[in-house]
Amino acid sequence: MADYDEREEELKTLSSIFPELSPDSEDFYCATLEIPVSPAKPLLVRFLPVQGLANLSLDLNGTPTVNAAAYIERDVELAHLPPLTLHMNLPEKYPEEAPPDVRLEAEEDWLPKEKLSELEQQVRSLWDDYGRCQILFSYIDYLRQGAEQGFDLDQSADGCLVLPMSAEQSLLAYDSETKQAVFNETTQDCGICLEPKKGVACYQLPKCGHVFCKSCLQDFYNNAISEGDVANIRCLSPDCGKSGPAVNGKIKRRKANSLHPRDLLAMGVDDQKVRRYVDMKRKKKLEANKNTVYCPRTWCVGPAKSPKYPPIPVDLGTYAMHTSSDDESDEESTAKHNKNPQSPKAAESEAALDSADRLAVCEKCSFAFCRVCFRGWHGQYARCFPRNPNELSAEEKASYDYILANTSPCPTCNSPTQKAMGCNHMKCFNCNAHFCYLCGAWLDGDNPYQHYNKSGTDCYQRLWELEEGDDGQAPEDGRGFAGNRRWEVMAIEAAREAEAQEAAAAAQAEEDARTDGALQAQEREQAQAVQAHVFARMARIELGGNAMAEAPQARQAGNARQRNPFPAQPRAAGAAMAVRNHERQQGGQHLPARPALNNDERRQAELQRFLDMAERDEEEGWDSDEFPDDEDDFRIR
Amino acid sequence: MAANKRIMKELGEINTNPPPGCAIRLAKEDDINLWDVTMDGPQDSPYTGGKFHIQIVLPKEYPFKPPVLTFRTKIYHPNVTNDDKGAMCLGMLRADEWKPPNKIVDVLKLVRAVLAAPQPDDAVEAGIANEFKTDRKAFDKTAQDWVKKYAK
Repeated sequence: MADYDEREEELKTLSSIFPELSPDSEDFYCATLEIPVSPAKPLLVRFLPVQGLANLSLDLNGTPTVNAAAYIERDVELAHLPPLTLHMNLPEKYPEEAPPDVRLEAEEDWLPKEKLSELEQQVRSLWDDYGRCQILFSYIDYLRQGAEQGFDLDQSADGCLVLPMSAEQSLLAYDSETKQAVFNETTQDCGICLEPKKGVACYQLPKCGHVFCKSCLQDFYNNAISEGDVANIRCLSPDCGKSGPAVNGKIKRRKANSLHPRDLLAMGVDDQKVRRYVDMKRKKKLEANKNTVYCPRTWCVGPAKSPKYPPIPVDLGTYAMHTSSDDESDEESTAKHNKNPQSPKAAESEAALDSADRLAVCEKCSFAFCRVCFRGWHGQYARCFPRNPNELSAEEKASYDYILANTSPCPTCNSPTQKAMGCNHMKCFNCNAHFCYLCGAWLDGDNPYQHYNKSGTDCYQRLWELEEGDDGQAPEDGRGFAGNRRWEVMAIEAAREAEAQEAAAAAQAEEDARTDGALQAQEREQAQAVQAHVFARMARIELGGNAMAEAPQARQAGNARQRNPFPAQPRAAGAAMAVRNHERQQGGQHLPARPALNNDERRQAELQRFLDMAERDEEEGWDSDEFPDDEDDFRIR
Repeated sequence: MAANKRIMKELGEINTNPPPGCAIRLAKEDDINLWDVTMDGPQDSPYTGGKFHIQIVLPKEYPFKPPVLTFRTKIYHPNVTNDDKGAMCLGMLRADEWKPPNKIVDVLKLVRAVLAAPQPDDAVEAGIANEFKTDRKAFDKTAQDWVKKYAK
């Protein structure tokens, strides 16, 4: 008996089955073994704040009797839980007369005490059932099977394991670390390079679970970010986002999972590249939002701060990006707004006019300005009126000209589009609208090509025209693409012509006035001086005798229209004027050289003409509209 | 480099296990970015009996950019342009729909599926698409005539 020890034999056998069994260095008949807990079906765990748990720890059934006190529930599915540590001690009388002493411990105390003691007691009944023999292996096997089942913790009244919130972080960390470790050991087939790779060299997207190797992912995303192709920063799997079940046929095709900067960093994309991506994405959203206002300082033009688009933090991993589902709801709501003119958004922007919401602060230069009048912030109670951005910088003018000459705007969102190659059926990179590159017409996405197949229309049979892109190509037949902001170009052309006529007329009038010989010296006087001049002239008319009867009338008319000839501000100082001035400076490309008249001269001439007409009793024919107006208000979007 | 390796791999796979009705080889020995495919017209379609020469150009960014596919054999089909280019721009071949894990095998399978079942709603030749939808007999007849004329 003494030379054959069943206890020694059993421990030996166990350690060859479980090499991780660690014998106690002091007591030969003691050993510990870690039992991993990775339930086949992930265990649902609910984390409660500590107040809710005060009752819970008292409750023996493990069912919390939390009253209506407010708390936030967090249900998480965990596939891996910290291991159970089994301490075994074999007493002298084991196995014939005494069961083994076992003690179970769970790291982080995640397993309820009651459950632990229940499991501990099981060893005794097993030992009894098996006829008091060596029982350790059976017991360990029993525990492992229990772990596989999640110890049936989800069979409780709650259907989940309830734990204090304090344990949440460490349990989640353990779960993800173990998952990563398991993943690192696997072999994955990368769908891009088609090579088998070890899990360590791969990255699994957390949201959709698709796996690719890191070097392919880096190549692809680095390239896409360099090219500014933000829309392609999404999961690369062809079937990602397509399997979304249509609910009531309302959900169209769901977008593929877009990536959080955290993911890009984790797969090893440069910090700088990721920052560029986040920056572009944010800029796109800012630009897509009609309520975004930009700093009026011409050297800055940064967007105003907005709570909806928080600035990009130094640590990109913490950046709160809109998820793709948010994007969708955003799009949906804007679509609704577009249909409904009485949209809340319009109401919102109107409300902004009356309140302190007019205050905007540039996020780049911190300039505080009014989002209505675009001047420095004037306080909440000042009245102000919308103002056109006064002039364009040389760079903006150049951009504007280029956009006008070389791009076709999307009919839905007005994004300027330029074709590099392919057919003339375009899909907007910004809003996904279908349109014709040649004429800018909106096309039905279901059947875009019929536009090119209706004989008699402008674009008939022209789907493949300019297939190699329009850059530098001149249409041979004159019908081709000519910078298809067609209506804008035409409007500007019309405005230019009208102005030319007007200027010619003014010049003529001025000429007449000169020959009249009365007013040569005062041509370039300031407005007030001119007004004084009017009266002087009136007096002269009165002295002329035969105009006696008309004089009061003329005076009346002059007074009534005073506001027209002498506007408080220079007129036509808007963007369109700036563009026209710019074109004029470029010199006679569009027009034969004509005398460049500045506004003051023109106004002066116009006034002169009015006076002449008054003299001939024709002032009723004078039209105040002949003064340039700033109704032609073009803007760069 | 990685791209070449992938193309070689795909070429090897496709030659040991070619998709039904397709024969693939390189157009030139020393250019792995230019593939020549001979595709048989699918059974039960007007193209049956025809042999279609399709050229596939793999851009140097492949697989990050989609392959460009052209029919060198004239074909009467709503999804293939009726000109000397014979371009096809459909589904996964579009730049914004292309995903790198797609392979040429998948592309060829798609092409064959589109030959068997034209997609008139996504057509590049709306006239042919219209005929396909409204006068299927006339469409089949012309398609068969073209097969006899060009694809033998």
